[in-house]
Amino acid sequence: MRFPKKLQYVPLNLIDSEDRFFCLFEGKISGNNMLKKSATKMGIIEPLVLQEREKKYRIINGLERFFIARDLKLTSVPAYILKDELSSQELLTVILFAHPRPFSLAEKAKFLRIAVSLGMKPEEIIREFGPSLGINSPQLLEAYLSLLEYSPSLLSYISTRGFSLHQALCFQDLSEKEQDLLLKLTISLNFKGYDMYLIITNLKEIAIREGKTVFEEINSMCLNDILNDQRYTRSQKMHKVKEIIYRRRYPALSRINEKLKKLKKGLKFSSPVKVSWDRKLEKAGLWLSLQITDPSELKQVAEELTGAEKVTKISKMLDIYYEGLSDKEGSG
Amino acid sequence: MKDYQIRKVLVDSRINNHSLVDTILSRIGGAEVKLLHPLEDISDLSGSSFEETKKTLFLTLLEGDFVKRCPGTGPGYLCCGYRIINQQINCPLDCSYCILQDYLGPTPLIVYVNLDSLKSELENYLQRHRGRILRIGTGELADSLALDYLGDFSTFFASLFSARHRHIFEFKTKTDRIENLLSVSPGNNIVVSWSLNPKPVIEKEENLTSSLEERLKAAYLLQEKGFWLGFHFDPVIFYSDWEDDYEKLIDNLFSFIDHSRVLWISFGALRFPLSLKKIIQRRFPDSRIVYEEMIRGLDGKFRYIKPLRIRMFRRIYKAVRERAPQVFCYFCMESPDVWERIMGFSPSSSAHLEHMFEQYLANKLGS
Repeated sequence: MRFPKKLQYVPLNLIDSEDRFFCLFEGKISGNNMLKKSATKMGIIEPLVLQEREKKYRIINGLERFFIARDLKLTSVPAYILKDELSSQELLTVILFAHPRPFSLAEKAKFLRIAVSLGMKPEEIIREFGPSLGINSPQLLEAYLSLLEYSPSLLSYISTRGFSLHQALCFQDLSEKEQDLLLKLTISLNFKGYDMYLIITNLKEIAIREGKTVFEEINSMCLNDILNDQRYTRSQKMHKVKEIIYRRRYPALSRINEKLKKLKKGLKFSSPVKVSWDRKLEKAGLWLSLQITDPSELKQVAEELTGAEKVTKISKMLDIYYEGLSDKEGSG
Repeated sequence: MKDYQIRKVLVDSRINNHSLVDTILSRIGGAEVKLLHPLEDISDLSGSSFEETKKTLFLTLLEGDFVKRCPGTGPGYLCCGYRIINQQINCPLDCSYCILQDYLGPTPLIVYVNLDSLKSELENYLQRHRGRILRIGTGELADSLALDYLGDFSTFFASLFSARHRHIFEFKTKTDRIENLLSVSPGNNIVVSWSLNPKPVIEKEENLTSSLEERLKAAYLLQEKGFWLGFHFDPVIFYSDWEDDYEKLIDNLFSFIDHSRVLWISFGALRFPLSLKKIIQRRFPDSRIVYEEMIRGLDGKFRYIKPLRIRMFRRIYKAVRERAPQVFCYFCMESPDVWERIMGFSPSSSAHLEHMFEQYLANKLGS
């Protein structure tokens, strides 16, 4: 820290824990077992950051450590003491640099909220703190602030599970009920940020296309039943959930691929011929690849491929590849 | 075309006394005019909205090349070898699906007034390609006629091409701003073409453009005047009533238009990069076009799945063919196997398609 400070032990009863304006910590008080265990064994090691204020001290950094110390009935804690005359902007700089680890999404958002509530303009915030926070535009700043509209449990989850801002923003425009439902799904199946981003984006797009809400879509897909089904492992459940949503987002594509897979199963070759296709149906036609180890095999493969039965089946596959829409699908 | 007002004009100080600038300014009423010095740029508009920049006109000089090849799209799709003249950049119309939103961003409407440089560059270019039948137009990065009232550009291009019989000039538009063209003698190498969609699509997605009736009426008037016509069913858009609506549209078209005066018709299905999808979602929240079943194509753009494109093109192509059996039809940015399925053949490459086009035009126009 570049500001004058002194390290000293401060009696807990002189710390005003009610003034939390500059505190980024809003988690469950004393819910941090690791920290509690460590403090039980060795006391508070990392000093708090306090500011002198009317013969008492307000917490700038270290609210959680303060609560743990109080729970453990410690009488004093080590703390850096900042002078009373520091400006609010200087205090923000202290918070930024005194933080023991990189800010999480929620901490960044809360930090920005403090800056905004101190009356700083977006350009000013970007100029002063943007380089340290990786924020270079008012839009990005707004995006971080919008995270604070999430429910506390959702915000805490995305902050501690490595969601990127882009992934976290996919929860935007969802109702609290929808956020909770999706959070439950995420926690139960331990979805990572990328998976969740795809799932939510697809759910939103399905809902818009079908003129329903995301909540209605989730219910209509019976995703809860899958979560509660004891027959499946967690990874099977993850796979099923993804598959159900994909099928709803891409009904014709899924159906055509399924038909092709079925036809492929019925297409048996005695020689090692493989039939494949682009699952997006975009590359031209089917691929037939074969592996031979002896030139004599060529004749056998040629005979097999040109036999009436195989030609009919492959033609049918091609027909489905290009024309496999049902009447309903093509009619909108 | 719906009412549209330019609010601000930025004038490059180097051309402050240019006669075309005077003409343009005299035709814009009530706009704020600001001189821009050469070292100033228009980047202070970069934070502006599309709504703002679409009402801002920037008059300047183009110091690079006016004439370019159409960039086409990535490998895997056939392109027709069209040439473009970038005398204007950006369009005052506001179609939800417009690629210029992504390609240019929120940029003012730019009009390059150094038409003398354009003329000499174009003459050199056409001279270099004198043995070829080129198709060339101004409707790629702009609408060819939307700003015509400002500087009579259509008259300029029509006269420039009047002695260039082997080079076909196309005005491509979604407007009915044909006043200038009606007073021009229609050369055998001037085509005026319209991008067409059914009424519900025009009303919902093609903001500020002329209605279907207005476009067809304008086409009819120019046909009567002796111009060649072209039509572009691009982007073809999927929605619940597409089949009936496209059929009605084609019926309507050929009840106005004599198919023997139509030089070409193109088809292209809706396609857009991811970046444009986000812009559409943000700018046109009521639009549903990006939520259909689409895949990322070989060029990375979202497209309808191929079986759907085939079904739509087949229906539309058949309806066109029944009414205009001789017209040259082609697909824009489509794959060879789609050509094959719809038309029963496919050009073997983009160069082949360009060659086919040239041959057709040579026969048709007797060059």
